[in-house]
Amino acid sequence: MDRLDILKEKVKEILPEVDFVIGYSKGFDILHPSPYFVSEERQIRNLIWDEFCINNFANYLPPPKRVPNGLFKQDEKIGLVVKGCDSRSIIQLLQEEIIFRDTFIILGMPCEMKIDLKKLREKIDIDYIQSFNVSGDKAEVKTLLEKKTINLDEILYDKCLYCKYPNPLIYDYLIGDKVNPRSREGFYKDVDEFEMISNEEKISCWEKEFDRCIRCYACREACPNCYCQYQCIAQTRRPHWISQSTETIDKKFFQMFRAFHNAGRCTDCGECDRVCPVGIPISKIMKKLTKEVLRLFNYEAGVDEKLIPPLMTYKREEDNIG
Amino acid sequence: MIKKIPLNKVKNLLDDLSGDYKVFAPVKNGRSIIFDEYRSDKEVNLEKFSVTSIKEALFPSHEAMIKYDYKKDPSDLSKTSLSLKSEVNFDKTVIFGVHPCDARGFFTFDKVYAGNGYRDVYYKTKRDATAIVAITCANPLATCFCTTVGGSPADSEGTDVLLTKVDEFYYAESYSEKGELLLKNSNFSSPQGGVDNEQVLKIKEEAVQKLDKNFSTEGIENKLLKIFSDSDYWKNATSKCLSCGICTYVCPTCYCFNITDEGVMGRGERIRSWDSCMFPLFTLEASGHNPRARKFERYRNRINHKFSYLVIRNNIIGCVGCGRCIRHCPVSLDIREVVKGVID
Repeated sequence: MDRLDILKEKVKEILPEVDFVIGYSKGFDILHPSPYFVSEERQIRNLIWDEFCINNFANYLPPPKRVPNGLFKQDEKIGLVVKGCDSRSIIQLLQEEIIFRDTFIILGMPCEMKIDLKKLREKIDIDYIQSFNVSGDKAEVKTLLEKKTINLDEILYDKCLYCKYPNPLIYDYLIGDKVNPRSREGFYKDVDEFEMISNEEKISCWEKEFDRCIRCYACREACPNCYCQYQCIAQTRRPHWISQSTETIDKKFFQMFRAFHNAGRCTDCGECDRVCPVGIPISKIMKKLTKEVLRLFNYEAGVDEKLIPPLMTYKREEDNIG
Repeated sequence: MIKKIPLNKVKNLLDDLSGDYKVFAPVKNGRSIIFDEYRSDKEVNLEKFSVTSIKEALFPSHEAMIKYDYKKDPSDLSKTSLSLKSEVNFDKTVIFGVHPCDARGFFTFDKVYAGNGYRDVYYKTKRDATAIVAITCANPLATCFCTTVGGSPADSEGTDVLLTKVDEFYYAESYSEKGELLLKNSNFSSPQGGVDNEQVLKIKEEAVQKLDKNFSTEGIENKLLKIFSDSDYWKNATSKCLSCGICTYVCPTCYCFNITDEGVMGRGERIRSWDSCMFPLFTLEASGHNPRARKFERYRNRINHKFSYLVIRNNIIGCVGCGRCIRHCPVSLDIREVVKGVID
């Protein structure tokens, strides 16, 4: 039985216990699956699972985001499909005690890989996509205008290329067999290279990127860790931390404090980067943070629920800070 | 007037135009194509769909309405004087290389900011000084639905010049005096023996044929009012929404803004900046009450605004079917499906 069939069976089994299950269904084309809320058995057949099912459903869990939005009830129980990387977001939220384990059921999906549409777009005009078929380590991609064979390694998300946790670290049910992790060797290569350039170059590089930011806050809303809602200081008037203008400096400032608020909490899920409509490589900033947290505190966010995140505690003498 | 211009002369044209006008065009910025002010060192891309719409040109993501300066009288510190300055931008502008749907987007702005009631001087001044050069959209995308909401990939409404690509040329038709003036540029030449008019017509017709009508907008304004209180419908339709502002910010017709004073030490600007009805803060009142606290209420408002309120009040559908809100939505929420659900 393939993973999708096992998933469907399991959703059917747990549906009576929960208000709904969040999975993936077909979107407007084959590259854009859409989150799907299953509350009735007849909906189960619409569930899908492929290399484009990318959304991190942990983002639907924090009550500050969820309950005022009025979709769900305060006391509801939900089920959700969770990939390895997404499970780290859940662990992080549990550590922050913003969500509670008995209010949701995790359907853990071991995950081979996901395709980065921004990378794929560099190879082929995906606006006119017709088919995408994986065979071995290559993909046959057909669009209205052309046909190409592309090496998968060139179009996977960076987080997938170096995936250390393809299997959920926390789950109620594991759907299908586990997947082998990949080597982390080289994961921080791009950050290491970026560190080498001069400060002036770094500043000008980010100014170029943030120039086109439209301040839509999709990065924030797609981030499971960003649940301040309208108390987010990006928009508050009191305190008046930041101008509402779209000058590059204000936009850069917003992203920098969002990054710092995520220090030691970010699990590199990459959603901020994925959802950015103008393709700002936000995950590079977040990756730098996770790298520093690893170096300073020997800590990876969202890996072990029992640990206290380093910036949520206090140590008189830090081992690596002096 | 009908003219033609070889593809490889477009850059010359833009360089010429940017001498006399402020020129906006779809340019490459990082990995994205966005609408931005043209400079000769920027790479223009007229083939792909830009992420952002052209509204930035006439309705900038932020603009100063007033500059203010409070000054203390050095001889009597209890006295303060205030100086106010307001500048309205009159620059002659050309918006180049837009899709016909984008050009139509300004019709909604016109009704609201330059119609019979309120006149927004910041918008209206720019609008009057602007010419639009659109391109026939020969290969619409899966997310396009302009024909459903009254437009067409070869629509000349709202444009001053419409370009249609035929082989190595753009075939240029002017639809206004502003357009004729643009076609006088020496990079354009007469089409005799060059581009065949029938070929242009064929390309336009084929483009229209590539699009299916997704739903009928007949009576949609009342259907939406009828389903207004069906919370379950709206909750189910919008449960995946993340409440970010992408759909409203990439939309060529969303015109809402916020006004804030931005300054230090008594000196600064009163700016208006884009605001989004998808944000809870949009309707949060000083008392703490929020009439649209829940996201299904916010999304319902967006749909109703475009397909009902504007239709009733201004006799215009506030959606041009460009499909950006679908294409760029982080959860692929499809406005067509939501509207279709109302009609069924």
